[in-house]
Order: sequence, then C-alpha cells, then structure tokens
Amino acid sequence: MSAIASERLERILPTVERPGRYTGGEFNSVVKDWVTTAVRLALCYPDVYEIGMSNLGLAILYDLVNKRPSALAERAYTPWPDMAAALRRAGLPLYSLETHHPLADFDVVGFTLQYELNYTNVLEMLDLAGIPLHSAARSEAHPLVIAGGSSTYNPEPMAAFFDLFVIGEGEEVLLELLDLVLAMRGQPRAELLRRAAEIPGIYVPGLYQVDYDLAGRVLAVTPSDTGVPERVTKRIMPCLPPPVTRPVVPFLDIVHDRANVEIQRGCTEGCRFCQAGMIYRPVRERRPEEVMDAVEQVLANTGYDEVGLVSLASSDYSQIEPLLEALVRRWAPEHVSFGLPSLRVDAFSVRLAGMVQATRKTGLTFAPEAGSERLRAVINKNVTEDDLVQTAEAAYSAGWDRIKLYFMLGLPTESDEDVEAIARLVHRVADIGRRHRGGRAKVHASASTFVPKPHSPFQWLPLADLDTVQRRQRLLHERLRRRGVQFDWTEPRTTLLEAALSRGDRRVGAAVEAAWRGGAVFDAWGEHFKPALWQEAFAASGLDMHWYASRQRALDEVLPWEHINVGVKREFLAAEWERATSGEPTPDCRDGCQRCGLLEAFRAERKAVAKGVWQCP
Amino acid sequence: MPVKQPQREVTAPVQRLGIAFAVAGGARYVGGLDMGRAWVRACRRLGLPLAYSFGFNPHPRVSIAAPLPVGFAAERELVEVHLDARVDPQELAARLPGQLPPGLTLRGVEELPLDSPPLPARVQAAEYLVRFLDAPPADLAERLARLLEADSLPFTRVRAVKQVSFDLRPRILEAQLDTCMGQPLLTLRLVHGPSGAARPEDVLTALGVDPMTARATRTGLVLRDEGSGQAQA
Repeated sequence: MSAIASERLERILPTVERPGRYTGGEFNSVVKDWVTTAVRLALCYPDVYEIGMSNLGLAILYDLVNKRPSALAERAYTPWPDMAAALRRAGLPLYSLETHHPLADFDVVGFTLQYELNYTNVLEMLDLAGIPLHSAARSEAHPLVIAGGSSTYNPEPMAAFFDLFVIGEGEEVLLELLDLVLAMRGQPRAELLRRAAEIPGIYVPGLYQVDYDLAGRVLAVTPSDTGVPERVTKRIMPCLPPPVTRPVVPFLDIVHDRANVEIQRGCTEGCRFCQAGMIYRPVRERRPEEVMDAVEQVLANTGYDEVGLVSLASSDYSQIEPLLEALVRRWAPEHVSFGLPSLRVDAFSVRLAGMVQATRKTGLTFAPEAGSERLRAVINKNVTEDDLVQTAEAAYSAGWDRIKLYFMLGLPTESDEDVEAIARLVHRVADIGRRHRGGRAKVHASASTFVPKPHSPFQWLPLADLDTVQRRQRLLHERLRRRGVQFDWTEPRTTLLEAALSRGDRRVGAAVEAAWRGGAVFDAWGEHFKPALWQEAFAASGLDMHWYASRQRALDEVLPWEHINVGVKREFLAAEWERATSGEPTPDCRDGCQRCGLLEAFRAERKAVAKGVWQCP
Repeated sequence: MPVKQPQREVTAPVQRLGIAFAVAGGARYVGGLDMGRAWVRACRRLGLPLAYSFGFNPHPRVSIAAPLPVGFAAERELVEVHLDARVDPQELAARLPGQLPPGLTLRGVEELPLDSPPLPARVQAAEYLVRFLDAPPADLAERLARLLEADSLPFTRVRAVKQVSFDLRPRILEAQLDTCMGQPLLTLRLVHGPSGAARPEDVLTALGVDPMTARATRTGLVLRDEGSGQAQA
C-alpha cells in the first residue's frame, strides 16, 4: 500500500471538527523518505491530538528514532468520533500525520499507555487501521504492535492486544527492538517475538501462561519457553538522555502548548499512595548548565514563549533556585515564562513561583492530598498544617489571588473527621486570602478519588467504598459553600473503572474488547463515558469490576503484575504499608537510603554513572 | 517575597511590517487564531524584536489582516508585525522562509507607515477562485446571471446552531464563471469588512450548489488605500 491520496482526504477533512488534527505538516515535524528508510515506526497516543501532542515521552522517542538514519517515526492520535466515522464511511484507514501512510504499513506500531481510560481508544485505532486486534491473530503481514508507558507496569489487562510491552524507560530498548526487527525481517513472527523477549525490559505476554485458583486469583505467571525471563525488569537510563530541543510545534492550541525541558526524573519523597514515586526511581537530575543550554536551543528552534521545567517535584531539584534565577535573568526580557509543576507546600516554593511569575501571577497549585495531619502521616505526605498556612500567607501576601489545592478522597483509613479537616483547611486558606486580597482571593479545592495502584505500598488495598466517597464528596460540597471557594470532584463510576482496569489481570482484556465493541471510546471524556456499557461488558465477560477494584488482596496473594519488576522490592512496599497503618514517617530518600531494593536491582547501571548523578545517597 | 523583576521598558513600536504569504497543504486547515500564533512563533524563532502590548498580560503585536476560513488555500494573505527595533525588510524576506512551517510560503515583506490604520481595519474585500470537485449544474451560468441581476438577495447563513440573515447581493462585488482547460472556475470578489462579509459558500448556496462539492482559494485581499504604500493585493 502507499500513502493515502490527498484527494480522498480532501473530501473528508472539511467535514470534520478541527481538521488540523489530521493533517500533520507542523513546524519541526520530521518527514523522511518512506521508501529508502529501512525501518518504520508509528508512535501512537490513544487520545485526541491535543492531548497526545502534549506528551513528553512520545516527543522524546520521536526525536530519538528520527535521528537514526535507518529509521523513521511518524505520529498518529485517536481520531475524534466525527473523523473516525468519516474515515469509515470513506473506506480510509487510519494513517500517520507525516506521510499519510496507513498504520498497517509500518513495521512497528507503538502506543504509549498513560491512562487506563484510554484503553478502548487503542482498539479503536487498531480497528481503524485494519490491524487485527489480537496479537494471536496477526501474521508476518502485520506490524508489530507494542506499548510502553506508565500503565504498562500492569500490562495484563491489555496483554491480548499487544505483541510486546516495553517496560520502563524506552530510550535504549526501543532502538534495540528496531534493530532486531530490521535484522529479522522476513523471519517468522514467533521467532521475532521469542528473540525480542530476550531483550531486557521487553515483556512478550504471549510467551507467558497465567494460572488461576478456584477463587479466580492469579496462581502463577510462568514463561512458556526457555530464554524467556521469569520476571521482566524495567529498563532505566543510567543518566538522563539529552533533552529534546527540536520538538514538533503544533498549529493547534494543544493542552500543554509550550516547550518542555525535563530537569529531573523520579521523586525521592516516598509518598505511599504514589505510583510514579515508586516506578520512576531512581531520581536523576539534569545539570543546571545542561538545562540552560536546552532552554536556549528549544526556544530558538520553536519560538515558544513558555518553557515547562518538567519533573515530578520541582522544589526538590537541588539547584532549583540558582537555576531559576539564571533562567529568569536571561529570558524575562524576551517575554519567556517558565512553568514549575508540582511545587512542595512551603514558603520556599512560593518564592520559586514568584521568580517565574513575577509579572503574571496566574495562580499557584499545591497538593496537601489529605486534610488531617494523621492521614497525611499515613500516606507519608510530610506536610503540616503550619506549612500550608505559611504557604498561603506567603502566596496571598506576595500578590497571588488564586490558590488551587489538590486533595484525595478514599485514602486508606480515611474517616469523616479527615474530610472535615479538608474543609477546615480550605476555609483557613480562604480566610488568609481574604485578609490579604479581600474579595479577589480565590481557593479552588479539587478532590480526586484515590485508586490504589500497582507497585505502590497500597497495592493490596481495596478501592474505597464509593457510596462513602460520594457521601464525603457531598459533605465537602456542603462545607465548602462560600464565596471565593470553588470545589470539584471526580465521578465515582470513572474511578471504579480506572481501578478495575489498573488492577486487573489478563481476563479483563475481554471486558475492554466487549466495551469497545459495544461502542465505548474516549472513556476519559465525560461526554463519551458510558458506565452502563462497561457494567454490561464486564458481566458479559463473566467478570466483576468490584472484584478487581474493591477487593482487599492478601499479602501472600500473587498480584497480576508481580512478574513486572520495577526494582522496588515487594517487602519494601509491604513494610511501607505497615508503617502507614501506624502513621510512621519514612524520610525522603535523599536524606538516607530506605533500602527499597532499587540499588540492588540496578547495581550495574549505578556503577556506570558518576557518583552524585543519582540522588540516592 | 518574590524577587522583583526589573520593569520592562515599554515604548511605542519603531517599525511596522506587512508580510504577504500563501497558504497551501495542511496549513489550509489552520484556524485564524492558530495562524496568528504560528506567525508569532516564526518571528520569535528568527529573533525579531517583536513589540508587545501594554498592560497586565502583554502579548506580541502580530495581527492577521483577515482570518482565512478553515480549509481554504490562499495566494496572498497578510500579517502585520510591530517591532521594537528596526530590521531590514529585504534581509527579513531572505531569512523568513526557513522558519515557516510547511504550507506557508513567503510572498513579500513591506514596511508600513506607523501611523496608518491597522491592516485588519483596512480589508474591504476578498477575492476567491472556486473550483468544483463534482461537475456543477449545467445551467450554472444562467443561475449566476439571474443572481447578479437581482437587486437584493435575502440570505440566511446557517452554521452549526447559529443563523445569520442578511442581504447577500450588495456583498457580491464581482462574480464571473470561466472555464479553464474544460473545468469550470468561479471568480468572486466579495465584501469583507467590519459591517459584514460574504463567503464563497454563501454564493454557492445561493446558486444551489453544495459548498462541500467545491473548494475555494482566496487569491487576495483588497485593502482600503490610506496612503500606506501597501498596494492592493
């Protein structure tokens, strides 16, 4: 097959909403010669363009693969339902943005899975591409369909649909895989998959058998072939790879429409609810000089006037203050602003924010996560009420009008008192705001519902009872009726699905497929989410969402994701859960190694880098 | 307390440039706001000393003369740029093409007097060339003649849920049907201004032709001449 004729696209593009999502041709997009490039990769994000284009991980891989003379990478996103319908009506397959080749023409079709509510979009894209949904149904004539990203730390629910998963950081392993695909062209697919399974970090689900006990719990996940590892250990980059300095600059106004420079990977704080804090270890910082250079280059190459300094915890970056001083001194006169995500709750962070938002104080966001000191001790979020009060004082007195506070409902051991404590905190912050800023002061409190995620210390725990969560949402809603205070919360049925999908085993794939066949797509979008359809899909597959989401799992139970090794030991996670129940703090691991197991698992990688690159002591 | 920024020097712009450009390919599907942003970024990549507006939330003074409807190709669109320091228009014209996204082609750079009205206020008409994907009705020429003979053409434009009613006739300045290599081509000059505009699809609809079966290229913008030195497109 060849690229889709532009005359055929011309017929449908004017009929759909925001056709700019489907044309490509953005500045810095890389269009390589299709015929002479040896190996071709499609990078897919299973959500709409404006979301997918904001993902830094895919931008990194796009840049890396396209820098290789022998390989090309092109992009595809989920067409909005109007475009999906138009493609189907016109008999056109899903195609890549760069050269408009059908996805089925690529050697490898790779998805990033960042959110479980995107799963049906994967099936939608495969179907639109004319690629068989099931790995088992694909032949040598089809692309290798692969996935990576944070959701693949429990790959099981999507195991049937992917030929293989790349676990962990993809920068090296993806290139190794492309080399293998090239070397084994023309050879049987089964052989390719078996060889791929030998690459560290690659999980080929078809080469593992899952056995269940009578109660339906996983008994064992066993490799069915020699040379296939019993556990797949994630890949990490010993030190951060060079930052992307020539990203694609979209025409459309995407969700995060700015340049991004990753300043730090991983987080040392050790919050017990946080999957990212566990799976992205160890913490690696980029040197400030390298950040300065990257900012210089990315601005020259894109023309953006905003740079996001990407990390899981900006305030923790050891050189953050001198770095910001240098960046602001250099770039403020050229109207460049900087974004600092995930600020710690303290006055220091307000000072940092003041450096980057000196002229345009748009708002500050903090995440106390829980309302009471007791519950924050349970989750190891080491923030005191005094910290928050001082932060609010500092922010409102320095001229901010708007503070956004993130909380979670449904945390383990939560009681009504903890929820009342959220309301009290918000009122205290609002009082401080009114004292400094009068009627202009705003507090936006946001309460998401906690989902116990794989590989976190709370992985054995059930999702909170959703009736209770709903009652507490109403309680907060009631308590937070006040001028200048805004409150929002998450839809419990969305949470239930997210929990069932993220904690599911291999059988859950049948429910995902049934839901998609029933019409589920864009489940992350409130206007498209159909909870009843999902209930039916689980029932039709003989499964129960609550069994996956809301069941307390025994410490000795084999978890569906246990053959995926993130380096953090199960014993460490269990010990953290123990400490949580007694409210015992675990210090930041910059202040002393907590022996999570990571240094043992990645001894070789640690040896490969200079001392001090990892923020492990 | 936050570190206080040195207050930026805010002065009146010292130079105003009009940039003409063509739109083709994927760039046809870029909306007006997005096109403005694409120009700001191209200018920033070049390191042009863009002038910023005053106020709490300063933004670069770059304006598209008349947003191009999504899906239209164009021969000669206009954008104006205010600068804080002078640059040589010829030098800019040489450097700009390397910073434009695919689908945008530079047609020229000209200096505009600082005191002339903004380009968006000077656009009075736009010219279009319409080609047909499907063969138009055989009696299209007669239909067009009848349309042009009318004194008034009450017309209702329906877009999504919005309806606008107006007299279409005075907004059609010229309309001519030609054939080029056997293909019918409709040339239009339509009013475009603050008091209203007609679009090629309005004329097609009035002619009883489904606009989806035709594609328009905007061939130029007609400016009210105010001694600006910028000739009409």
